[in-house]
Amino acid sequence: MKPGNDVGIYGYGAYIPRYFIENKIISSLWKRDAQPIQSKSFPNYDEDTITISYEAALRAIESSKAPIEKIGAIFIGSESKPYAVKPSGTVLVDALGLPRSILSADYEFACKAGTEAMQTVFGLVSSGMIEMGIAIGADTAQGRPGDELEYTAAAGGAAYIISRVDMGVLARLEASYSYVSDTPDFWRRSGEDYPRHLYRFTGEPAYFHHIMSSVKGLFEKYGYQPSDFAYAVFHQPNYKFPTRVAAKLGFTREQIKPGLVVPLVGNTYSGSSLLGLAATLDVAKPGDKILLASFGSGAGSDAMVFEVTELIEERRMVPPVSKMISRMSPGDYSTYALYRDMLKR
Amino acid sequence: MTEISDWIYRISRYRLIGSKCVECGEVAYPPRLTCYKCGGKMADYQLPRRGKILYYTVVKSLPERYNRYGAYPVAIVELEDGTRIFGLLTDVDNPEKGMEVEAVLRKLYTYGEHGKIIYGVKFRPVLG
Repeated sequence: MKPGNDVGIYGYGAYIPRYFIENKIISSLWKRDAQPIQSKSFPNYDEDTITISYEAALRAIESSKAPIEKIGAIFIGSESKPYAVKPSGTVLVDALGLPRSILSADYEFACKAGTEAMQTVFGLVSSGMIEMGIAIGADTAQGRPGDELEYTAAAGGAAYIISRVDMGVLARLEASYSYVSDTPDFWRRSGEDYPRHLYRFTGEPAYFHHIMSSVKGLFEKYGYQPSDFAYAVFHQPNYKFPTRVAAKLGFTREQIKPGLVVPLVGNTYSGSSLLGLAATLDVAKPGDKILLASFGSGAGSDAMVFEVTELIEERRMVPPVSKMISRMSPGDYSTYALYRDMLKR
Repeated sequence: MTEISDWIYRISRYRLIGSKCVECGEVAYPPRLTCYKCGGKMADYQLPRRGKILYYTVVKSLPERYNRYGAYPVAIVELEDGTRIFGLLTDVDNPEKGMEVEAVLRKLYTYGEHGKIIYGVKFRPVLG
């Protein structure tokens, strides 16, 4: 897809909670060897998807000095909404002081709800229905104690302010391509606390097939090749999947390195690829092309191409993702269990 | 606070909006209609989000609503404009006098397992 009018990213912000738990603590508790990553973030007891979205959006607004009176939409993509029924975005509208003449909704598409929110805002801005909008991907992901997902399900998110190119953007959207199919690799039924997954099925038929299809579709339709890009960001549920899909598509380790935050932060679900994009924008230079490819179970992938502009230098997020990671503190399993409400009192 | 006053005060709690006396300039948080010093009319006033800890203590004897996760630190914070306000601290294990803090939106409490989640400002060490 190409926008009717040129659109792009005006500002970006990300947030990762302060605490992390090392995988070796979890594997030692369950007496297993598997340690798919080094550590994962987890939220403080007073954090949820709304507060994480707020922090990411506030950082995007402050770092880019965006004129918030022009914002006409705020969409939050998440699979850990604090309420099953009551929108998250309305809290952000009043907490951030956004205009109340605004579109707001919560999006769900497993881990790609954040890029889905971006696509919608790109469309609304491109059509001229709104001047600017905010798209957020954020989660406090649930991992059943003892399940494989417990090693990686993390908390964090990123927010993108989207505007027309003539308003001044730090990265222009060149093209996008989406691919979905009914593939039941991972799900959470209504009223359930934790998601279920089909183990090895989550790899080839789900993650790899959908990301390869969206990226190859994008390349074939618009004539791109891996060497056109300075950087690439893929959804990162663990370390192995994004590095392998990058290699299969012909990208080098260097191209994915800045955006690969999963080894220390974990899988932030709807925030995952958007957090990787934020970490990549932290180091990108004007003229760089960036490929973003999300993945959401169920399943689908959004692939997008951005070209970074001169404005990146004055709109980079403060502090950068790397500093947010380096300020994190280790937590033990008991703190993790308490803060994640696993303990009955 | 009742659930209705939670809603009435949500904007001042979310955004750290206090009030300033149009007569004597006294600042109040939470906001008031009349100045407690001179009786003058007060207008909305956006407090700065950053400040430093003047005094702190750790509350260990907790009302039920706050007793889910154990003791928590509270502080008198002096904001950048000199206003001193009482606030809850978060993301800090060892608070210190003079520590630079910033206001963030966090969950304050919930009405049990099935009730509303109430959000508001807390202070945490400045991220950078």
